[in-house]
Amino acid sequence: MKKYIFLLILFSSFTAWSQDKADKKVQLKPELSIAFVSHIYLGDNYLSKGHKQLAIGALLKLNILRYQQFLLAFEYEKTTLQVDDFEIGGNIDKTNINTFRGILSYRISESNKIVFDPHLKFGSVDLRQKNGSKFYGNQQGNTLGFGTDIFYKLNKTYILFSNIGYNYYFFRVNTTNEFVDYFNHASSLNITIGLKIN
Amino acid sequence: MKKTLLLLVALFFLSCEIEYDGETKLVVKGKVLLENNLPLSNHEVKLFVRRESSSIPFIFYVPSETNFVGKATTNENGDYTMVIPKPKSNYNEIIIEINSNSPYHKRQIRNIDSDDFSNFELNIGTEKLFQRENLANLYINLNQVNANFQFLNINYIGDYTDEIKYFKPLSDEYIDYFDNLSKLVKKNQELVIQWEVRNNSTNIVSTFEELLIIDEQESIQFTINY
Repeated sequence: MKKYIFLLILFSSFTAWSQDKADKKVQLKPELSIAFVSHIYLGDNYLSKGHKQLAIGALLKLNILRYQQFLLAFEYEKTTLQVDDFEIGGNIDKTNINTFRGILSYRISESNKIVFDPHLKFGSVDLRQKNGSKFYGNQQGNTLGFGTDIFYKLNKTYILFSNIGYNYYFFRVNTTNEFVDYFNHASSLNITIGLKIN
Repeated sequence: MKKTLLLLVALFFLSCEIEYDGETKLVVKGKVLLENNLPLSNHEVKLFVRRESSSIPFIFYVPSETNFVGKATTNENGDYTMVIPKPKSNYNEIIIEINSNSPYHKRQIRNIDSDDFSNFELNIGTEKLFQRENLANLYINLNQVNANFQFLNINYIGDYTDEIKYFKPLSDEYIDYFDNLSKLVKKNQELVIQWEVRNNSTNIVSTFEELLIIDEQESIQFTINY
């Protein structure tokens, strides 16, 4: 998945440069955002019932391309959850969730001090489980979601950044029929606060 | 060059530890009852994955490793369910341990591996625990008096248990044979001991039986002359 994201960035960059010269419609617009993210996991599943709420993590988001009001970005997020239910999931201490996403946003009201970027996101997710230094394997899957970024311009360079979103996760765990849905589906609401650098 | 290769091989094995497949979850279920068949509720059951040490003298040494992978608590019916990530191939056995610290005797179910699971599930069945104070140690001493006779096996009829139960017979029959010569037996009962002996000169197998009165003693020795 990481390979595909890299190739997409590369391809998009070339497209941007070539089209930038031609009609200035697709532009390379690098913007970096760094933020803390907090998830509340919902429903009857392993992430929600098997872990302590709430989960705190960090993310790095890079806006790459802009076409009129549409923006393309990529995001890496790492969230750590403390395992609460040892019976269903094993004697495991914590779960690290690594997420790589591509994000397609639409920018609203750019002239104002407050800017909204509603978006759709899709990517890959990797759950890594540990007890102390002992690694107990990983679970891979995909995630899709929607939400909105809210920006408050502090000055030309720094922008206060917040995000509210809904995320759905699909995993590929093989287990009994009793637990397959419990491990393979999850959803979360996220709230993010950070800083964007132009 | 050879030395470097050996060193690399040694380092490779040193770094080997039990690995797990996080995308395959194994489910273990079972039930725990007391000696009077009432369910034992709110008791901890643990699951360990163990690997024995291995070595090639002067080349490498991999120490033994035991991972405490699963734990569960029995419900009001004595039932428990544990879900664990599947251990990969570099391990020897899965061990389920019931009740290591309580008024009841410890029970370990050993010699389990991931091939024993059917559709990712293994039902251990019902395990019965006795109060420690109600149990005595019975030791069977074998005394061969006729060189032609060979002791084959022994069975017990009555209330008895073991701290260790093998989920499937051990490949090493020698350990299984001697393991059967000591039991935890319930005090104040009449226990029937049956054993088989083969006469190697005639190839005839004979079965013997004896009634043993178990009283309040903590330790009982019983000698079988054959």
